[in-house]
Amino acid sequence: MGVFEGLLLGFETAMRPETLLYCFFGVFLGTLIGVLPGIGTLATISLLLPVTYHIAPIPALVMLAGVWYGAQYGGSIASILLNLPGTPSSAVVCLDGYPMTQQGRAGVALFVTTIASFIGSMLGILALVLFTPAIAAIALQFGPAEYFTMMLLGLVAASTIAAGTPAKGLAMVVLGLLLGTVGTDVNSGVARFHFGFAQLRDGISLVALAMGFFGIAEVINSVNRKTSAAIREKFTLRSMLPTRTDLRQSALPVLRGTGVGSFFGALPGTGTSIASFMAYALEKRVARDPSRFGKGAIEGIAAPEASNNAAAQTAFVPTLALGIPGCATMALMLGALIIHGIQPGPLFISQQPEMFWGLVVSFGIGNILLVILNLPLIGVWVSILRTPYRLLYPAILIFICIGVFSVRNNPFDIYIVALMGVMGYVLARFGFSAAPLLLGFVLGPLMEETLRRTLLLSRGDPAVFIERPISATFLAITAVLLIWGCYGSIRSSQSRRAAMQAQAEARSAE
Amino acid sequence: MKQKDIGDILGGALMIGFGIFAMIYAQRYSFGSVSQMGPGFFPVVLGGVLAVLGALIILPALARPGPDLEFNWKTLFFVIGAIIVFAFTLRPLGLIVATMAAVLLAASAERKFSLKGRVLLAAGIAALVFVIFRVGLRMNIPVWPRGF
Repeated sequence: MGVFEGLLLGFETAMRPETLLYCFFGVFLGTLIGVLPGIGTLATISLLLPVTYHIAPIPALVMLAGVWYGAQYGGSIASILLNLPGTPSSAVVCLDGYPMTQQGRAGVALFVTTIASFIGSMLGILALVLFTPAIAAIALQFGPAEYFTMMLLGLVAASTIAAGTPAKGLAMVVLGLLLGTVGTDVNSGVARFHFGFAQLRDGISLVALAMGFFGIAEVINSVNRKTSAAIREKFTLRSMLPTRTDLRQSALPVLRGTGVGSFFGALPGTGTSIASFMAYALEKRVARDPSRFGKGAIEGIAAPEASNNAAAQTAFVPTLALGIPGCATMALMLGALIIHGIQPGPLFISQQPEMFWGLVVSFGIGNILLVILNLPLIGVWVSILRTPYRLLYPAILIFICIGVFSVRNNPFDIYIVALMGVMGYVLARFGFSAAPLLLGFVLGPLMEETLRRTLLLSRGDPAVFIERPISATFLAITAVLLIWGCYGSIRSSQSRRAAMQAQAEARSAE
Repeated sequence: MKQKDIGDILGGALMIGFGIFAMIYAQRYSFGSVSQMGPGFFPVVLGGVLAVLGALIILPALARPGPDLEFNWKTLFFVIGAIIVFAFTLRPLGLIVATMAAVLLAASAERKFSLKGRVLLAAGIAALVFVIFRVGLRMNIPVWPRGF
């Protein structure tokens, strides 16, 4: 099927009233939770997972994806107005966005970030349409050995690049893989780690795990934290219009940001936050006068916003073409597909053309809706920013409980949420990030399956992983990442020790 | 500056604990061989890897100062308590009672929140979930105490 027929089919799917409604609901909710610091995309999508059991797969995915890219728009509003990032990926927008607010140019900043987000998203969707079929075509030749090493590479990349020290990230991946083994083993029919609970024979529910690790842990961290100071600005459309200089200065940064974002979004383990930081760093490097940055340079908000929105779209490339999610949110999307009995992979586009093209077109529609939601309605979002968190979090908790209960009509899963919440909170305090754990949990069963099949076919000879060129390449990149990660953590450990020593010496010298 | 990196040491120990537990517990499942893996193979190997990673986290942390750990025990207690109360009371007492009890408990985590405010919030959220989940989504969930 060509791109043109695909897009036609996509339009037909995405323009159905039901799909449109869920698309609108998704981007609306995405903007809302993007605006509010203290409720993240992951928590919201895990909260919505139970809902997806009750609706058709296409509207379900359209809605979840809408939350994901909608939050990228909303996140910058709090960054610009309060110097408080609504989402991690818009943290870098604080650097130049908040100074613009102090100079009375908040309206312009909001306008430029919205337009930059829109252009970044649209070009990101284009990259998604071009690259997904190409990558899927390559992946058609993959056997279980390639699949296993590719997942290994993805997990190692996610744990060594994205989060803190590599050893801690890897430990979380392995813990996630272990949690994924709970329940009935498909090959032998043996129920593993059920501790006598019949409910655990079906495994730990993804919904309960995600809500515990992301929803509950986030609520506990956000209670009693200071939030929104008074915002005085009033926004009229006229105050938001940028000058001609503003537009000229942000045109190229938006394009560069889009390029950076499209690239990093599609890589496993990098994601939207790294994409926006990279775009900011690039702008600072190519600028004629780098000293303007941090004082309200318009390039400093245009490039990162284009970048994280492009990345949010291309993040779907590995998820849909290979069935390998690059970040925790994509792991949840994959989980939602698996709930509906759809396993994405190289055959996804040809077997589920309606879903692939429907999703792509709905992304386009969603982004247009987002511009409409963000520009004229900015005042609404600003007033929502003033809602105190103490009124929100008890409601969030109840929604989590009811949502988890509704999946299997069983209070048992609510206890699992409590257990996972305690684990998630304690581990987060120890400095362990939960995203690699979720990736491991989702990929675990498939990894075990491919490992088993590879070694069964090779009659137990592990050399098969090195003899096949593609698999060997994946392993080599994995090894490089591991060595690089070890080196980096030794160096940062040494410099931390040196810094602490210097501090102690300075103190004793006084 | 004798403070050690407590977070990494305790976290690493936790990982070693999980790993060893998985290895021992999975002994009851057949291990099989590399070419014919049994249900015990993957968990035992993963447990071993996790324990090794735990050790790798602890070792450098022993010789390195780290930040102090901050735990918000009170919030953790109220939030987790609210979830457990909800799970415990939902079946016998129904959605309305369970929601109000859980909200009252959860809202106690916030320092500046009057009793009257908490009661109003609890009633408001109970009404909201009733409208959304029972009236709107027609979910099959017990609403009132059993016998009513």
